[in-house]
Amino acid sequence: MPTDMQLRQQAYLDDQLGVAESLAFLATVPSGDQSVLQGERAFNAAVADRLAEPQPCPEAIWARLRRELATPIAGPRLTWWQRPLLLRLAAGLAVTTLACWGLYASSRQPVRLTDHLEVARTVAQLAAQLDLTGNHDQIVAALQQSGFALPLHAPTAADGDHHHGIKLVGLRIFKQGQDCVAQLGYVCCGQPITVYITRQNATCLPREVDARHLPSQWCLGAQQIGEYRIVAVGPHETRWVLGLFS
Amino acid sequence: MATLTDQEFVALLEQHRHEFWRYVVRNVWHPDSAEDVLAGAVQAAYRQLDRFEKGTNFRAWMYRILTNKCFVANRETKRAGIDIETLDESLFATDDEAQRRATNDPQAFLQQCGDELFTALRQLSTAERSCLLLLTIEHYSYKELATILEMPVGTVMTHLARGRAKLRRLLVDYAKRQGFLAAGPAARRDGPDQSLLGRVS
Repeated sequence: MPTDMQLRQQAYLDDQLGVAESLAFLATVPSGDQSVLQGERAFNAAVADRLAEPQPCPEAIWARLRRELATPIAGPRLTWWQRPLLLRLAAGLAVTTLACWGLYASSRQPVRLTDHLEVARTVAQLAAQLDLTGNHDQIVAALQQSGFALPLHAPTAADGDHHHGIKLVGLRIFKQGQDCVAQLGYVCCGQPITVYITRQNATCLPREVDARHLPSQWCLGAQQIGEYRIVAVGPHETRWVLGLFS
Repeated sequence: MATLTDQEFVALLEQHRHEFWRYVVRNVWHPDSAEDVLAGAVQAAYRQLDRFEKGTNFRAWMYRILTNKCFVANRETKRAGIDIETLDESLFATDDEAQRRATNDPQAFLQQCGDELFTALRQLSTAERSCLLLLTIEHYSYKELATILEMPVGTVMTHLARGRAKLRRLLVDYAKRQGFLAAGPAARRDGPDQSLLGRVS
């Protein structure tokens, strides 16, 4: 950074100081340097004199300027929609509106289950996906310890008799994007049924039940319990599994 | 906000047209482009006339538009030449004896240089040249220059210091080549503190 003295020296050379300020500045300069400064000022003044020599605007150019201002070529002053700045702002607004509409429209697209999650097609695949296996109570305890505090009943004997035995076989807790997901694995009639549980605001589970993207004969069911959203999917009827959450 | 009528605008232009023309002719690299630069600036000012408040500084407003057009015509930006990292230190090394003789009788020295002054002026950056012209010819203050050129006062001072140093160096070199100033040992000169020159504040 220049010192105050240096700044005042330049201001003096650029003739930016008043008389009193100039005298006060010169009083701080050694006498030997004063003549050098005076020489520089004289040099600057001589340059300024040369640069300031008159340079008349040719009449032909002035006539052109007047003509252009007077004729329609110059045109009237631009109206608001002709101004480049306003035009750019309007274009920006249009682009932003389109982008917002695009985002809104994309957010309205139904989320398909398989967009984010891999659904087990066989019991073996389901078993491979699960991290925790054990009896029903152990799995439910692990689910609740993971923050999913929702009621989950064990299949009753009647369920087993009627539906060839529904069995909870394991659990996996994982993150999908920003969402925390609990995956429960059930087996019914030898078929895998996968249950996904997320908070309501999660985006990885479909809002609407739409099984069209799944293999034919597959079932997809969903329900909401408190703050949780539960989706069950598999090649077997899922409503009895969903009925366990209540 | 009161604005100028078309007639008032033309009248003010007519009043100041010579100084505006001189500024543009001195400031553009190619003198042939001066007419188009001035015409473009006048057209731009006319289109923006409703942004100019009647009774305020018409000259300063026009100089801002003219300067912007000069930057465009010279294909430069206002930041050009301000990078301290790329500063050529040798720029400020001057020949003491030649410098003394140049400043001893500057009128005679510049007379001998002839039109080389304008050639040397064109070797400055547009920012340096604009600052120098507006300060020395139009007598604007640092603060007014900062407003016209839309840059901080410290940057204006830096452009001025560099512009002056470059100009003097170019003229002294020219004079030595032409033989009307004796060459001497190149060194940083004594006297006024040269360390200010080229500093970015």
